Amino acid sequence: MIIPDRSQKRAWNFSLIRSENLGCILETLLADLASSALVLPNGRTLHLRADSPADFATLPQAASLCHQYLRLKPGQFAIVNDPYSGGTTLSEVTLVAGIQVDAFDAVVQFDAIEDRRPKGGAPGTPSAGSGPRGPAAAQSAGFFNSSSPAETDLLLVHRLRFEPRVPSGPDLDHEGVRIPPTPIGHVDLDISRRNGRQPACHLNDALLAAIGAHPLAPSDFAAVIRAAAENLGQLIERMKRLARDPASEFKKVNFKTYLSDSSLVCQTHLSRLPLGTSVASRALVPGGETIKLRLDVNEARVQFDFAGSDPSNRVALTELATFGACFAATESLLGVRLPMNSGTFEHFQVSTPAKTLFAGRAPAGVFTGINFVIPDVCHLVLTAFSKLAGKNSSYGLERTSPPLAFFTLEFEGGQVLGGTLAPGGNADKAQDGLSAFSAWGPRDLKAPSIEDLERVYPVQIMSSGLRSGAAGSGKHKGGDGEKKVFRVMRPGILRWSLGGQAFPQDGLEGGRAGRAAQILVLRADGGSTDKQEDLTSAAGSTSLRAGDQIFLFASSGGGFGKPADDSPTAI
Amino acid sequence: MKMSRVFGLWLGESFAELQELSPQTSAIRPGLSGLLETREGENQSRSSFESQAFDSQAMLRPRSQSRPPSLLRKKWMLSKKGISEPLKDFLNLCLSEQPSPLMTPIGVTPIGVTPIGAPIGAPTPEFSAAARSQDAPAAPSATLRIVTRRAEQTMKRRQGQIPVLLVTRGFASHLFLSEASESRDFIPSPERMRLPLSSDLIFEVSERTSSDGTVTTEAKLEELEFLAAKLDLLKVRTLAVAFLNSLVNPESENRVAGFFREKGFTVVQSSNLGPGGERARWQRAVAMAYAEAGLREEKEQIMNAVASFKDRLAVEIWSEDGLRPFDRYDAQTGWTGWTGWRTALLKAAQGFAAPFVLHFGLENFSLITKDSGAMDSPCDSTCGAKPPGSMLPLPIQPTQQFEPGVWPIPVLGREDKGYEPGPMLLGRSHQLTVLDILFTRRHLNKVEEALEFLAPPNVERSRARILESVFTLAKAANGPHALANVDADDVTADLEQALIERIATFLALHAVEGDLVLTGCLAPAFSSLLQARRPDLRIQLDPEFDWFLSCAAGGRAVTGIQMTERQ
Repeated sequence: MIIPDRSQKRAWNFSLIRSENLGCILETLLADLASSALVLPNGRTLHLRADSPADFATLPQAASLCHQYLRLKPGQFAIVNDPYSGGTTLSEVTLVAGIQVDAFDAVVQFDAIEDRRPKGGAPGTPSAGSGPRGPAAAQSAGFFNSSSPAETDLLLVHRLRFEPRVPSGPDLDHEGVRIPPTPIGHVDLDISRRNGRQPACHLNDALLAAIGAHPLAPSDFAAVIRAAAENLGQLIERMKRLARDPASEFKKVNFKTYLSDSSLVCQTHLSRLPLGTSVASRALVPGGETIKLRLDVNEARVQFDFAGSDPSNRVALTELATFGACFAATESLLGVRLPMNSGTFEHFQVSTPAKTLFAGRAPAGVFTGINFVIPDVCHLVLTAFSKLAGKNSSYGLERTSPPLAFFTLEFEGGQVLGGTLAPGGNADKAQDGLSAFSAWGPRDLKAPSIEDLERVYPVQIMSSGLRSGAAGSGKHKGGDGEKKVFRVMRPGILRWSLGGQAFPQDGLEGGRAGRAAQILVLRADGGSTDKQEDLTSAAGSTSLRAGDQIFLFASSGGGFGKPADDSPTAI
Repeated sequence: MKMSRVFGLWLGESFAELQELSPQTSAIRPGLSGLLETREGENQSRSSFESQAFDSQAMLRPRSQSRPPSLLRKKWMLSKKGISEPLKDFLNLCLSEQPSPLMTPIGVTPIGVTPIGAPIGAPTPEFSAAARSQDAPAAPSATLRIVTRRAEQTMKRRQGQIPVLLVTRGFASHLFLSEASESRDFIPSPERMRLPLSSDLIFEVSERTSSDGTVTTEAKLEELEFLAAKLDLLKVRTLAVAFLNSLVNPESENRVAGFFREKGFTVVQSSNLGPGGERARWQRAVAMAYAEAGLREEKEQIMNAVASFKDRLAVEIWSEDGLRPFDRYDAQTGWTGWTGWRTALLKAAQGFAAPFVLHFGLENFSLITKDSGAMDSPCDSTCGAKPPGSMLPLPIQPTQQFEPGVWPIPVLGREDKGYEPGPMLLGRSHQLTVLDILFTRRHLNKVEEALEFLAPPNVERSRARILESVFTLAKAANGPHALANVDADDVTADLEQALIERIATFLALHAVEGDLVLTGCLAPAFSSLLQARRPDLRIQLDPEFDWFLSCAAGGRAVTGIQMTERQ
């Protein structure tokens, strides 16, 4: 990129400054939404905030498909969680809203739409002046075939993470309630009708209640969706204010330049990567399937080809989630926050041949793939880059940790408490392993307060913290895994899925291995003869009686280097 | 006619500074002016003293023509003895005259407290009632108000002391789980932010309160005695007590905290730091206890300094919910939440007709919105409630640092660097900050007082250094582009534009329209820039901004002391 002339250079710099300003604006807009994106109707991403690697490509796809199927008008909302329509796991629900950037005042007039409906419609069809009452009613009410001139020119996407739930079977139907792109209502952006109040959300409560009533639906589904929609309504309102500012860069006309400038910026940073081709492979833990990667890096593009990877009946991943893992791992190498948009994404190309586990198709479940295989893919990508760069470049591969483990407590009466267990990380030559941390897991996993859990669920939490004495010793010690101890007050079922944590983490250079995850149940057998059960399988379930105590231990990291005290008891 | 004078004393890192704060009370006794001149003359012979020009005529000008900050200025270099001596000097200076007969009526009781920023002199109805009463208590003749950021600074600079943490049995390492990653990006080798907590100083107590508030296991006295002996051996005097469900029923926490207080420990209880789940509450308790240790010395020094003025002086601290007696000076009063200076700023903003106030203080840029409805406050009746309104920090802050970013231009970093060593224009630092850009673009010339306050005498030397730094940073940011002939002036112009763009976006997002008041000592630097960017706004500069608040909300000051003397 040679810019010889000073005036040209100045003009180029000025364009970049405007683009950087727009980038700051977009960053500010999504600052409070951990997993979110702004997507153009043609599917190109304008800005994205990822909370987990799977978000990078799935968020834009969710927006794009919802718009493609439902022709979202400005202010309209849809939800989706189907992993084969832009979702990830079924406990993560994506909310999509239509926005009009350049003419915010010309939002669709919903009263007018309702007026077009036949008077005295069929039972279940909302009458004029009332909100829609069901999916069929929403369709007939003209939500998605309106002839209003207002057209959506931007889509706002926000992914909500509900408590994770360990699936009770191998296919998608056992992982939760599957929601295809579904219209759920709209936000009224007409200021004149609101009289200074916050924008009002008109959601299809009957539909949300129906989804929430499904036995596998997340708890508080309708309330959480409503709160999120109201939040998005306020954000759209803020965008509206911003777009009215005549000097603001937040204009549709600037988006194209922003994406092309982002592409240039990305390309300059990619030039720091080692060039060439390398091949790496890795066996999945647990399961043993082999995943293979051919990495090809040139000045303008990074290509990932997973041809030759094993098929699997046990685990499936979507192509979009695989893209996210490749992108996240590469970005981590660069050490800079690239502009998160299509201008950057277009430099990355992922090929997932059919019949490999990366090209999952419905009704294959994705819980294991998304939660346990993505960290493996990230690791594989780093290994391939490390090979490309030469033997002295490890890219921090020693200091890894397995993915989060999951557990679910299903109580009689329908209450479900889901949670995660964070592993300890391996130590490396420079420092101890990190305790209770998973490098590639979701960033925004807000561990619920113990006091809240005790108030809401029939449990008493006896202990929470780090698992001591299980990390591998060494010159540098492995990180401690997480521990949780519950006493259940009502009968129920415990399900768990430990993934890679079911196996000990090896130490390096003479460091000792850390202990694998462990699940113990102390049975309350009449109070006098309590007996302890060690549940050793990587995934499973057991029934619980009131008074039983559950001990959940995450795996701990392996040490690095020979410990000073090299006796066998040094672990 | 009732008059009052207000002085401010800033106790910074290396010096203390006195300033006249209330030029609106212009009928000032000439005697005091003379006294100050004399004292300055006396002290000037000492090498440890710096004085500024003293313009006694200016003190008699009407407020609109006055130049408040430079009227009366005196600096003490702080010695190892700390702030005690300057504070004593300051009090002597302010209280050395015989009280006039008019001095008594106001300030009789703490009821008569007037919020900073509001006209001083009008007694509250409560005060009037008290003054009419036959048995009105003997009155202090002056009030010393302290506003401090010491606790915040203690945390920022890690100057506190790791406290002991007592927790419910089974939860010793619970807080380690909530330490967030330093980066929100995906990196294979993440680092963690660390709480000021050591696993060696965490002790479990066998107690339990259930979620409905029932105490199921009471802490045993023998266990507490054993712990107290252990803490004595460790020579730790500050501890945080953090038990589960203590917000539902603090009985267990109270009992244990009481036990240790009786033994002379400084105890921070998590149940006093609600609302929120146990993680947030426990973290707050740990942080408070950590900062408390850093505050102890300063508190002792202030107490020593005011001891000899005890009968004539009411000492108060601006706390998160209004003014409180000095004995309530703890880490919480100077915390980053609703600290005293924020409360004071909100009160000041209530005086403006405009719905929005942009505050450009020396260390803080904020948008103040005047929401309706007063907030609840536990000390409404005695010391003034926390005012209505909200205060949002702007996306740019005066000492926010520029750094190379992913775009090939320098970008604003996340960190606010503060005044130690401060922006480059102070001459001691290599960190390019927002103030440096304003300075090189000559916007600080519009705020002479601020420049006088900020800049060293050889300020032009700083200008050259700043431009050099801009050049280096721009080259580094260009990185692989390797653009030749980077023009530092062009870059500073671009950065100035980027700063204003950030503010404009923020204002648009927060629906700031119509009338807008700019206040704070740096406001003049921004008014024309902002007006050019947002011509639709009716921007007014507040000519009577409270210099005390500008500085207390920033400046090099760690602790500010306001002295109100009633006539």
